Amino acid sequence: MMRLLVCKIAFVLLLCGVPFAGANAQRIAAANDGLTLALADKHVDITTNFSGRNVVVFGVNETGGALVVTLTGPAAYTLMRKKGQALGIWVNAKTYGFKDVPLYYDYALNGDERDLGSMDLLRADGIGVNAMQYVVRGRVPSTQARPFHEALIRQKQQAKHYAYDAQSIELIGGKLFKVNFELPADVPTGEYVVKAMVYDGNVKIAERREYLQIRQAGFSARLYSYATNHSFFYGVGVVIFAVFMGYAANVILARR
Amino acid sequence: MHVYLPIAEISISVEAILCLGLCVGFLSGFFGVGGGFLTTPFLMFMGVPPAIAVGTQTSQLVASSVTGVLGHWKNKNVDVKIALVMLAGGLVGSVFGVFIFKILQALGQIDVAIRILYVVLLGSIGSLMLFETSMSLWGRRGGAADAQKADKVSMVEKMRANIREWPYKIRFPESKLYISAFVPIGIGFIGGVLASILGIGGGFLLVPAMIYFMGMPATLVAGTCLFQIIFTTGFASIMHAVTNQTVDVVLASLLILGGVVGAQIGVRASRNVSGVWARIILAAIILLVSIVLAVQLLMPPKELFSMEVR
Repeated sequence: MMRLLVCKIAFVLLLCGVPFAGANAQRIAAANDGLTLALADKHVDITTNFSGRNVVVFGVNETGGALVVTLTGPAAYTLMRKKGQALGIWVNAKTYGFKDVPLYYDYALNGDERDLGSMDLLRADGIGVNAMQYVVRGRVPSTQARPFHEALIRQKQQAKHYAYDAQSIELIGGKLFKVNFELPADVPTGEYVVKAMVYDGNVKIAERREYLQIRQAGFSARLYSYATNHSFFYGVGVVIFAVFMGYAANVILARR
Repeated sequence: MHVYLPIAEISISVEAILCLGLCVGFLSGFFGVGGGFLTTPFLMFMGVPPAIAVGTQTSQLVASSVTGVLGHWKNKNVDVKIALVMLAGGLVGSVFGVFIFKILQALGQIDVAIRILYVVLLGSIGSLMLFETSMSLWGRRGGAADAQKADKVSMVEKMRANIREWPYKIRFPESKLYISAFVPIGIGFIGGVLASILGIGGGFLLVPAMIYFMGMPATLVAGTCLFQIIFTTGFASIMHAVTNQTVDVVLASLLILGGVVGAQIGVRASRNVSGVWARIILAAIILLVSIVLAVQLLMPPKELFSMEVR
């Protein structure tokens, strides 16, 4: 009897919920239509003389909501080590491993978004460097891992792989927007995700994503793939090259 | 100008690397040492990961050893047989070294281990060299060191007599030696371990060992040692390329290029300086590097945390 009652209540609740959920979904679908995103280039080629590049993201936001654009690099297992003294020598004493840490992160906000002070909302959605949450491998109290987490972000920022602060989105004529992400010379390679999100009040109403390939190209890429796929022949090749260079040097030396 | 290193996946200043190669080449031309002991710490200082620094450095040593050995080869100052026996130890040492390197890397202690080894090795070799050369300098002036010299000679003689008793003797006609195969094998083994862990040829350690322990004629030592180093470092280089993928050919070419030019300048400069002073300067440089590294180990670091992406 009791079970039947619970079922009835659940059914009624479900019926009530469906129109709301449906409305929300419709709203998001409509908003999604109002948001477009495009990359000036689908890939960034790193050649031997690569010294950083700009990635231009542009799109149209017709939803009227506040816009956020993020650029996130591939994730990797990252170890943070803390030095401690052992017998007077500074050695790596403590290590924490963080899972799925983005190798690169940059983001941009609408100018007025910043004024709105809705940073808490962004933080809850994991947008912005300070909102990043990592999973620590092993059972570690979060208070202990905290300094390591902070050091990770600090060092990524120092290496210019994480942004210190959000940059602003350039608006052209109200609806058209443009963001310029500056990649440093040592930008990690891999698949990057560019996400554009629109917030209305406290709800994310639209999201679009595009993928950006950052990869070595040309001579540099050929060397890399050869060194990884045919490491033995690569090693032999390097040694033969070195012998030749040494021999050539001797010939030049002797001639003088 | 910056160049992107395809294996290290970092962008680095061409001028800085060429300059480093130049300095190391200068040292090798001037003093007749490999100079690897300077390259690895400086590459690490410039932000090249220790693994890449060591792996790449081994291939640079191949080039500088080939350049060095050809002169000795022309003058027939290479004892190929001893070199081959040393090489047997050297190859085993390289494998052992790369294995240790991998373990230390997994433990996250590779940079500390490399520093400690450098401090111990360079510190002891540097002070020994400085002590010995300044003794000979004063000895030449005052003649007071004769008694001490005789004392040392008898000690070395005793040690050699002891080594002569070791089994598995082999005859080395070129060097006019009849010694246990374990001696060159052991020395080669140490050379191989040093090459793969520290990215150095180890000439500054092998040459005295070959003179004191084996009693090799001084004229043959340098050429034989270099000849052996070509193969040990070449092997270590291939091992690093296969097991760790840490040999960057672009970085190696820049180092070699700088080294070639530097060696020429070094050889010319050395003509104007007497041997004793050259050795004192070398000892001072070696000591200085070891002191800098020791300070880095002992002083509280500015940044307590270090990051490694796997």
